[in-house]
Formats: sequence, structure tokens, C-alpha cells
Amino acid sequence: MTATSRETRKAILGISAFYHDSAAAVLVDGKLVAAAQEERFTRKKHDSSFPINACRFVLGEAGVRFEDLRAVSFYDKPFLKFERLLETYHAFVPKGFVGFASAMPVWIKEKLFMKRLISRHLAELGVARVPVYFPEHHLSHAASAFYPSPFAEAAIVTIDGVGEWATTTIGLGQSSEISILKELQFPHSVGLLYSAFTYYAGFVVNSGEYKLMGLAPYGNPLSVRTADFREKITTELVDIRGDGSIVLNMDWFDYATGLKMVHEEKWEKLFGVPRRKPETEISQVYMDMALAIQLVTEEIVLRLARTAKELTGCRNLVLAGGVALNCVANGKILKASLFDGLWIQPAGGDAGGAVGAAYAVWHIHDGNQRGITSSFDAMSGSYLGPEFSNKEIRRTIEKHGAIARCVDDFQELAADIAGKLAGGSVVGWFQGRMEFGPRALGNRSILGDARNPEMQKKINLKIKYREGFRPFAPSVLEEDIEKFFELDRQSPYMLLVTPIRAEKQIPLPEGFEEKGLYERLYFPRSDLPAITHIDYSARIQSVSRETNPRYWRLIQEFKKLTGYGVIVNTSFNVRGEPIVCTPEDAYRCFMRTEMDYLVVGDYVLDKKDQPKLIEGADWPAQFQLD
Amino acid sequence: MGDWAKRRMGDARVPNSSAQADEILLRRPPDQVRNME
Repeated sequence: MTATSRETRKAILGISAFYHDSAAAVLVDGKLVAAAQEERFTRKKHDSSFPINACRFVLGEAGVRFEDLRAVSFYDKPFLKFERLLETYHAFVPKGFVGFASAMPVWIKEKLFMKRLISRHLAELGVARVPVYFPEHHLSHAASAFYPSPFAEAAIVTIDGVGEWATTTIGLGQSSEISILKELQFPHSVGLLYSAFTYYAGFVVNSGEYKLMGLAPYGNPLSVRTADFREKITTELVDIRGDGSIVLNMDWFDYATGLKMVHEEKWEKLFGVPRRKPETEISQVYMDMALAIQLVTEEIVLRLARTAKELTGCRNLVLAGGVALNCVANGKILKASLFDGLWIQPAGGDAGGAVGAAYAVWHIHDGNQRGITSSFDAMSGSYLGPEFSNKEIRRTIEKHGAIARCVDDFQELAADIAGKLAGGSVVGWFQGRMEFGPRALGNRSILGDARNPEMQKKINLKIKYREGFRPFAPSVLEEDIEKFFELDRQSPYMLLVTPIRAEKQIPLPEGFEEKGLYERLYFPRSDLPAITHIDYSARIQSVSRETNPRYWRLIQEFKKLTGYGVIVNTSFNVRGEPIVCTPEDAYRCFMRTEMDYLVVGDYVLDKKDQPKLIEGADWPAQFQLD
Repeated sequence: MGDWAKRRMGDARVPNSSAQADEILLRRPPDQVRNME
């Protein structure tokens, strides 16, 4: 880069922190150059601490010098959030005193002085006297949905638990402008409603929502109980308005002031079943409950999408916020054909707020124009994290005395690994830049053969060490999507769920719905059993040759061998562990599990050849179960 | 509970009519949303 071009650079650092999924992102002259979640560096899942490591990485990756840094943008407004806390406690007083008393010290000591707190952390990186801005939480989400999207104009819907006051917004994005047209305010929250059921089903809030969504298809759609649950939810817990706004009956919920999500004894009376104890067996009643709340959520989301269409008249829709990660609901929006174009921010949760906060300052505060130059979005496939050279990889291999084979002809490497996958092996696949957002998209992934009827069980139980019911997603060559799935467009970020093509579905035997979870699960439902969920759906990642040529090539080689341009892709981690970031993380995860091969850059490691990894048997204790 | 709180909390009861819909999906002053200070 020339000295002249360096002089003209303007960088904006976006930060999300202190709630869950802290992250940092950097824009240089309006272009998103790097983004990463703090958890990947600290190895603590959903780490909420100040993202000092992520800041260090993004600034270093972008080559940002102090004089380049125009501003720092934090993803919400602490004072407004504090106002919400105070008003909430005041409204419910004397209830909630314990929660109030436990929340106040950290607010009074730190969070109310966020500018000072951020400046202090940035000083550790050598950054001083930079303006700090605070766009609203949902404006950050809206900006993360619209600005990197491929659309010049779009309706914007953001839905999550809560930011300051807003829990849902509908907006309009036009060129460089965003207008927030409507908003739903706390405590009425689609995200918190879903989290309440996540809690009641025995999963961890802000983490287990994905499991609840994965559990829902096991619910019996024809049962009286599922219908009864749905009826109870919509008459007792939530009033759903025509426009998609909701009113929650706070008599049933404890999150506004308490330390729990719901009043358990009341819920037990209403639903006739106690809260499921975490880690216990999941009985059918919780699956029916999961299905009921999933259907209610889809109804709300669809109504909001319709309202967004009516308010804006736009042909395109963009989504962000934690609820935008509900890819089943996203699939329903697509199916409703309300919009021609649909784009969802791949880091839809709070981590993506860092990206949006930076964009909000660049376009809204500073007034810089937005240029749409191609049909591609500006997320670079979400490959925005760190990458490692073969030299760095070699250093890790040597450190562990590992046995590795270097294959510098990638065509040969891809053909070799495709053969191993087709032969039933499970492969850890570590290439290029780490993904930003919760999904592994072929750079930090564990791969397997989607045709193999044993693969789902093997990866869940022997590699991920997670609940056996959880489904796996396919990575499919972009050009082969319609061959396998009812989907007429790309899904690069694994955020759309659609059915397997009808002709690929194997009819279910009579009485299937009454069978036990695992009997149903292990009944092959298509010729791609490892990625076909119980209701014939799949959460699709389409792989583009342009965006990820190495991953595309690997699947292409698999197709040459098998006729199937589709494989299983799950994140490279064990349960409770953040997705691997470095070659060291990858090697450890590989050695701790029953993965057969590890491919890191150009190096191939065969499990059979490796020396024993020396560490205590208590390594799983490092990772809190999610 | 004051009026402001009733408005914000919707009086914490499930209403039967849809008459309040516009009060729930509020329209916010654009300047307020765009203020980043």
C-alpha cells in the first residue's frame, strides 16, 4: 500500500460487549475488513467481556494505525438501557429487589461510565483520544442487516431479546439512509418469549434457543397436546396483534425483575408439566411444547414481515437480531413470497452489533455514501476472522510432535480428502480465515458423508459429545441446490431451512409420530439421512466457487466420486467449546474426539499416526455445557 | 404504577382488543433514534 493511500484511510472500530457474544469489527473507508467474536480467543463460549483480543485482531488485520482510527462505535446506549432497568424495577416495586440490588453495583461502578471504560481498554492497545459513539442497539442491528446487504433499498426487520427499550423494529433502508418506522418495546419481546421456553425446556438461555428450534420438529403436529399448548400460549401468555406486535402477560414471566425467565409454578399448572431438568432425557411433552412455541414464533415473525412490506412497499427484506437466526422462521418468510430478495446478517445476534455499530457511524453519523457495485453482499462470505500460514501451522505440528503430511497441490488434497469422506471418515477441516458469526461455513468445520446413515449418530455422540437429537446441516454446491432441496436461491450463511425435494423423501411408516425420539431419528428419511431432519427439512449452506474456492473444490471432488455435491458440515468444536480459532485449538479438538483426519491448511493428519495428547482427563471441565 | 409505566408495561395483562396496536408498535422520533452521542 502506498503512503498516499494510507494517508487517506478512515477506520471505524465497532464493538459489542458486556451482555453476551462480545465482538469487534473494523471498517476501513467503509469496507468491512475484519470481524471476530471474543469467545474465539478466550475460549469461553459467549464471552461477554470487553473484546480486547478481538479489537487487537481486527485493528492488526486491517493495518489500522492510531491516526487512521476515526471513531469507535459501541453497539448500544448504556444510559438508555439503565433507564429501562430503573423504570422496570420502579414499575414492579417491591418485586425484584434482589435483582435490582445485584445489578446496580456494576452499573454504578462501570457501565454508566462506558465511554471511560472503553477508552481505558483501548488505551491498552495504544489507542487514545478517539471519539466514541453509541448508536441504539436495534439501529446497530438494522445497520448490520442493511448496509452489508446486496440491496440498494430494503425493508428492515430486527428482532431480539431486548436492547435499550426496543425488542423489535421495522425500518426502511434506502441507499445510505436508515429510518426506523416502528418499534416494539420491553417487556414485550419475541426473543424473550422464545428464551422463556428455552429455559422451561431445560436449555441455557442465550445459547440453547438453537436447540429448542432443532427439537421442535420432533413435536407431533397432529397431537391434541401440541394444539392445546399453542392455544394456551396465544391466549394466556401472549396476545399477537395483526401487525405482528405482541403483548406479553407479565403475570407469567419473571425476567423483567427476577433472576429467572418464568414463574415456574404457574407454568407447571398451565402446561401440566414441570420445567425439564437440564441434561435429563427429553420426553415427548417438551418436543410438543417446542413445536408449539416455534409455530407461534413463526406466526409473529411472518406478521411482522407482512407489516414491513405494507409500511415500506419494498421488494427486498433484510433481517438481524437473535431471532433472525431462527432459520426455520426465515424459511417460512421465504415460502410466503412476500419479498423478491431476502438477506440475513450471518452474525444476527449481538456479535453482529459490532458490524452494525461501525456502519451506523460511517453512513448515518458521518454521512458517507453507500455504493452497491455487485450482486454480492459485503460480508466476504463471513470469512472475516484470523487465518494462519503454513509456517504457523507447521509450528503447532512440531510443538506436539504430531505426524503430518504436507500436500501442496490442493487438487490432490481435495481428491484425497473427498475419498476419505466417501469412505465414512469424519474430517476436521481448517482453512483460511475464520468465520464471523455462530455458524461454521467450511473454514472451521467438521465434515462427513451426508449419505451415511450412521453419520448423525457418530458425529453427535463420538465427536461433538452433544445431545443425540440435534440435526446436522448440509453444505451443497451452489449449482446443485435445486437438485436436492426446495430452494431457488443461494443460502450462503446456513440461515434458511427448506425441505428436501419431494422425490428424495422416503415415506414414513404408519404410526411414525407415536414412536420414540431415537426410533424416529434413526429411520432414514431420504438418501441423505445425515442432514434430513425429522420433518424432511434441512438447514442449507450453499457453497460458491467465488466465495470459498477450496471448500467448493472439496465438495466437487466428493461429487465426482459419489454423484452427490453435498456433505455434512458442523462447527469445529465440542459441546460448550467456542469454534476453534487457531491450529492449536484445532489440533486439541481433533485429538480429544474420534475425528479420523484433520486437514489444517496444506497439512493432513491421520489420527492413527498421532502421539497421545498429554493433558488431564478433566479437559471437558474447561467448557461449560451450553 | 404511573401512567408512563402502564404504557410501557401494557399493564402487564393480555388485552382482548387490537385497538392498542399502534401504541405497541410505536413510532419513534427519527432524531432520537439517530442520536449516537
